[in-house]
Amino acid sequence: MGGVNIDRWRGPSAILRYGLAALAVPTATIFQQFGDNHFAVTPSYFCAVLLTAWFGGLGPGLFAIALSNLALIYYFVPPTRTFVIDAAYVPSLILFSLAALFVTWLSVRERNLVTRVRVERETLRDANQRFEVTNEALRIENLERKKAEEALRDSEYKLRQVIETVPGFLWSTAPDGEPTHVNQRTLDYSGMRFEEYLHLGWKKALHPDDYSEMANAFFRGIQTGTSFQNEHRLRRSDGEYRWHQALGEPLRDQEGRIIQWYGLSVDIDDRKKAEEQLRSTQARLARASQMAAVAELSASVAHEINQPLAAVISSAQTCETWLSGSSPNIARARAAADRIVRDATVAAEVVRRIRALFKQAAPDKSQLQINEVIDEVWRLLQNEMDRRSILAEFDLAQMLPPTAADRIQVQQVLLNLMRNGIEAMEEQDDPKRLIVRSRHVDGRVVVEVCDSGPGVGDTEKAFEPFHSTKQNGMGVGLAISRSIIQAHEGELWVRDNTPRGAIFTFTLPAP
Amino acid sequence: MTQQSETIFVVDDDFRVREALVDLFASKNLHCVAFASAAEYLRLANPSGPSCLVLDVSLPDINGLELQSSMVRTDHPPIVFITGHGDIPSSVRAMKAGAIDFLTKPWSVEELLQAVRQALERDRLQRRARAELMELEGKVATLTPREREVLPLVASGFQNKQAAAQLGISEVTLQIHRSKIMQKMKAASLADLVRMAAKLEAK
Repeated sequence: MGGVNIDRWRGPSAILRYGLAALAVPTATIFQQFGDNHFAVTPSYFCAVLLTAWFGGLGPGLFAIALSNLALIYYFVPPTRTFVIDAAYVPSLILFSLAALFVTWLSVRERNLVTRVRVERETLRDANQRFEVTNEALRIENLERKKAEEALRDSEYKLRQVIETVPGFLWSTAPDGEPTHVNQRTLDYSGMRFEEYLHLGWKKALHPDDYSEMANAFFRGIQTGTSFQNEHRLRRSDGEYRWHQALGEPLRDQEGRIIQWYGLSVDIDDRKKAEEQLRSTQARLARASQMAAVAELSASVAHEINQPLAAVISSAQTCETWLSGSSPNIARARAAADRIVRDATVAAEVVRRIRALFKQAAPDKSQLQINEVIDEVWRLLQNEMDRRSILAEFDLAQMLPPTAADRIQVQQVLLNLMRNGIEAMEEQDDPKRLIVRSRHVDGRVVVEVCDSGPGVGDTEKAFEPFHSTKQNGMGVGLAISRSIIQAHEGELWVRDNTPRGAIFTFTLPAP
Repeated sequence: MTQQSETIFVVDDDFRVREALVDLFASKNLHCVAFASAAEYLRLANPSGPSCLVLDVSLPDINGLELQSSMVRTDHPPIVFITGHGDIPSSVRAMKAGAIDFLTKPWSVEELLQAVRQALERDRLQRRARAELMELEGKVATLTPREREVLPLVASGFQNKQAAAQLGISEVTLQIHRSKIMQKMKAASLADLVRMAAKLEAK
């Protein structure tokens, strides 16, 4: 508090303070006049000086001393009523002045002390007041903060309730992908502790076959800062895997920097299984309808051909009967022979008509991506391949140009070739690998289907109608496939695979 | 009932098959008549002697199997089915309904001929049995109502006394009825009469 300006607290103005001296000294003189008139006793002047010094300060005090001396000299030092002084009184005057000075000094000092105390008290009170105001403000602020905190805790609790009860797995990770939170539901499901999720520990929660795909999607999302999604199987604590769909979204600050990743995984197992069932039903249906079509076709083919054939066989036997014996009936034998020729020609005609039928179906062309068709057919055959434990491999060229073709017909060809490959490997014990490749070569899309079965033997005969190596085959699949591809101005051929098996290749024009 | 009066009826919508079969049977000295539809057969065929029906399953009007079931109550000739496309359910159905055979085109000529001969043989036997039955029924028709009551009792081996008691007549009366029946039925012995009664019952 040393810096406080005491003058500010001097109170009355200089005129008043000096006026006090001018008032006090004459008053003392008046009191002195009424006294015993002995100048050596000057208590009144001391009082005046003291009063002035106390209330007025050092300057007025000195002023009062000077006035008192003048008053003493004028009124009390002989010769009185003049300002002339007798030398004999000078020491007394000096003594008075010194004593008055001492009184003034004491008084001023005390006054200053008192003033300072007052000032400090004032300052202190002031500070105290400010402190109290601040304190009050603080108290209010504290109260508000408490309320806010409570509200926050409340909303946090509610939020946590939501997070824990939401029917899904919620998690968050740092911008680098390190998990920061995993909700209780996730932990309950996986039977893992949160710590086990750290440092890629979540790998254990995923089906081994699905990990690499999920990791790719996840880290690609994190690197590019884009939201991602992935479907994968999550391991339940009892060891069962259920399909889940995971979605990840970044949370950004105002500058657009990612501060957190939030993710949600939802159980889609039932949906997935229903889808799979639907797909297998579809595949079965496709297979059944194909079989039904083949059965129908074979029935009508059989009927059409067997009818004249039955006649031919009967007539041949009859002809033989007419010619045998002691008196052969040549005329009737000839008639029977004529019928044989006629009916056999009809049978041949039926076969020709059926072949023509295969060629007649004009393709309904549209722009299609061959890789999509491969994928569709693969989906259709997926279950069959799983059942026969066949490993499908795809070596598909990216950025293939579209080709103008009939989707259904090309599907039929691929289905046929892939199914042939699958069935060719039926009996074999070593790993069954079916490889499908697509390429773009010289304005053509080239598709290869490779198997490791026994191979086809005669590579041209394989495409002849009614040539089959299968127990229940009609032997029309490859013939139809070739006619389809030819109708698309493409080619279909087969060559041997090494060390074993067959490679069926077809081309479709793709400018 | 001589060999000459045997007839094979062929029903097939394909004229090639009809021609071939007619000629085949002709070469084997078998009389054959061919029809193109079931309706034609039902209208025109009149099997007087032993006969056999070679029937195509798929016909333009009604299915061969349906024709078979529609004739099941009549004395139709035995059936040999021929078909361009035979399936197991049809063949099972045909055989259960009494078909001789179910041949798929193209058949072996030997099989067909064998089946036809078997069918003719069966028809011959059936005809003989039917003729015998008709004769018996004619004889039964001459019996009086009382005699018709007595016949089953005697035939089932009841003693005269028992049979008489059952009908509430005297044993002597029953014996008279019995001898009348033996006479009218031209039965040589009681065993003969029992056999006749069994045939009538089986009808």
